[in-house]
Amino acid sequence: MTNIWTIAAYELRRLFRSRTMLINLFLLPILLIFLLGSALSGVIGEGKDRTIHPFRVGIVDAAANPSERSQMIGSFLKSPGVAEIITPEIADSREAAVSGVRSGEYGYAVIVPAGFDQDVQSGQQAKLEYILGKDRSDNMVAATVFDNFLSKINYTQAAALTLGPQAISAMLEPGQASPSVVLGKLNEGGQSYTASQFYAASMLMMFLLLCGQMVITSLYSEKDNHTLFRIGSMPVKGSELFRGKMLGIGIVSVLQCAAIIFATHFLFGVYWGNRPGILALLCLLMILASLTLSVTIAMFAQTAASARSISSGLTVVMTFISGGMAPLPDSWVNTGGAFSINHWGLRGVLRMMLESPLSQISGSLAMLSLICLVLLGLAFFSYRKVGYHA
Amino acid sequence: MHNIMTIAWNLVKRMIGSRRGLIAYIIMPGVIVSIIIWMTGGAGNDKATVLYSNLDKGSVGAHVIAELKKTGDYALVEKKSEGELRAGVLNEEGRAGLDIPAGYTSSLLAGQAPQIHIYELKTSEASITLKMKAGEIGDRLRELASAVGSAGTIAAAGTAEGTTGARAVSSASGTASAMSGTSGTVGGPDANSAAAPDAQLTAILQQAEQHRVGSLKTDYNLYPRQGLDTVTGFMLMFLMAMVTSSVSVIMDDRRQRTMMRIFSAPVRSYEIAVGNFLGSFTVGIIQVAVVLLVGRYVLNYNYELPMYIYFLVLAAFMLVSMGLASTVAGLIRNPNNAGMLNALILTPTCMLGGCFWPISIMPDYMQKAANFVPQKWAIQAADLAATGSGWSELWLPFAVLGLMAAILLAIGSAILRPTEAGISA
Repeated sequence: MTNIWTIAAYELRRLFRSRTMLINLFLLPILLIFLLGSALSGVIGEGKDRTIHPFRVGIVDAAANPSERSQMIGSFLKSPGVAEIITPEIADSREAAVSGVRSGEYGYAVIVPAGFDQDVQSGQQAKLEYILGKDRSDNMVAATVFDNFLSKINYTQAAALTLGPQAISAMLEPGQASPSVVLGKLNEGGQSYTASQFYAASMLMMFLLLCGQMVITSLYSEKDNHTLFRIGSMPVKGSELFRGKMLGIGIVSVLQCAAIIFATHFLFGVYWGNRPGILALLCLLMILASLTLSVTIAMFAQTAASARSISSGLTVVMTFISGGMAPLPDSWVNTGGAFSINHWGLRGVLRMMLESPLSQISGSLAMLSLICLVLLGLAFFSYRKVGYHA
Repeated sequence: MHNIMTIAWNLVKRMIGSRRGLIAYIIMPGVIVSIIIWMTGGAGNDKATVLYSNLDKGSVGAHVIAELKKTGDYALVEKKSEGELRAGVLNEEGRAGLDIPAGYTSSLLAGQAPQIHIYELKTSEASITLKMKAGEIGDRLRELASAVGSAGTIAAAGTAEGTTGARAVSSASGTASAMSGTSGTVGGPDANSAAAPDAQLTAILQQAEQHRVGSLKTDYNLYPRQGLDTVTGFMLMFLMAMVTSSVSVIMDDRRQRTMMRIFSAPVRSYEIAVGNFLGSFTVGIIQVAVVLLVGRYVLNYNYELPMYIYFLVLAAFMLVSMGLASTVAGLIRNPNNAGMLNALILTPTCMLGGCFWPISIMPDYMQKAANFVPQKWAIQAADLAATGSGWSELWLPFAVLGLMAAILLAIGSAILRPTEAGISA
């Protein structure tokens, strides 16, 4: 037993002495969670920290002479809210507008048919033509601006046709202060859940899986530095060496996990749920899965470099297919994603964040335990088969 | 010059000279990138699945769903209750959920401000646009409800005050007035009965759903498809990972003191540096070419921009990431840790540079920070080329990439200090 502790203590000392290791283990995860959280959750805010750069929109009015040009469009374009987003420019003809869009002079173009105003007022068909420009996001912004304008006219026209023109003035009443759409709470009670929590959880899973890298480095460095010979000459059993190393790296991983959870909680206000015991159990299972997976890889890979690239590749791929990095096609997450370890860990953690009842969490826990059991068996089998020799 | 070529050629031979090297560095990348293209290339064209539950008995709830369906951007899936909807969002059956509460129509008409709820597990472009679209419809519906409400009060007042009032209103309206229901251009319900605002609102919504006022989109395909950004993004991420492996070969040389031996030959140190970089750049070029050709001719994927420009973009990016990898390797002397840190630099820079999502959805300060990341410029160059821009616009991203490469390679050549073995720590 003392041997195991000696080896574990040495492992700890070795890891904590390396500055790079410390940066990797404790700083990077927090940086990544910050990046993801602020890149994606800022979007849903009130748009305070986003400045929109107005772009030029070519406007063509097909009316024969200037006096017949659409008043509605004219006053709409002059309204202050619109002027912040787009800069309207009058183009002479449809051809001029199209060539302007093609050359990039205009970001977007809108063709107003002749007699637009009259058609709207008399309840006829009235359609603007949009010409899409070169920038995808500009296209989206311009389409939204004009579509909102048109939809307002459309509803007004419908109201006027049904209720009579006096309805128009009634519609101009200022709207209520509360927004008509709100983000709902996914959970029954407890604290509110934000989208950045998802990424905090997914990154935690990724870094727990990356713990295995330390095992690979440690196992191979004994071989490469020829220190395995020396250990072999000591009264240390192979299993003791293994257990000692696992214990040392396990302790570091637990510390890392705790650091991520506490730092994100206090720095970014990530709420990790009301079941600290089960959260700890889930993290331990993830760490166990990661360690045993790496042992299996280390047993079969030829060199340290190939073992490391296989394990980091697997980690990134699993994080990716579990949907933790970038949005994937919807059907993927529940089919392909289920083959990753992250998927089950992530599910469990998310349900804890949402304070779901235990029955919903136990499924993920059972699945993770099963994965751990299989990987443990694999690691044991491969150790017996291949062994750990100098 | 001769020495440089010898060193470069030797590095190329060592990396892809053997069958194993050929499989690891040339064939595997081709296969993996094909899978990436196959998986993500189609993703941009998919409709986002949106779950909804409509507990509203009135006409408004159905109208909101019909309008969302009409946009053509979402594949809508119905859930029976709010609880089911939330469970569906939690299980990631759809990208977002939309819940219309019970009694939405009646509370709208009662002049209250009912709210539509949106549920999301993680922020995505689809959930943002859904929120905007639903918010817009919701605002309009409130205005309509207020119009119906005031029409009701006018009507009620009218009947109370007698026919004169009603006549005044109807004469003021001039054209088609729904007040009396006689002229009835639309045959709407009788507005006289203030008790039927519900039916009035339904009639208005039916009118609105005909979309007399609307828009037609003319699409000359001037903008890059969403799929292109994703494919480029993942390609960049993958290339960066590949470069790390070729730089680690150079690192091995130093660790095994091969570099020292080269130094004892009549070779200048700059020749060692240039030779090594040239060698790993050649391997990178071959990788890029293979990946591009496999994508184009085996998968038949249309990159939407001239192949040679795409090739140049990727090659320029390759050069920058070589510089980045060697700089990091130079700063961190232990090659074991260098590999790990490189992998961890890769993910954040890819996120920041817009490999996984469009830069435009990030907050402003993050967009500014993205300027320092090479991925952003590579994606921008690909986008510009895809929209048919010439070199008059393309020079900027290329110049930035070139400058980054020059600076990083200059710093990175520090790893080639052959006198130091650098295995400590």
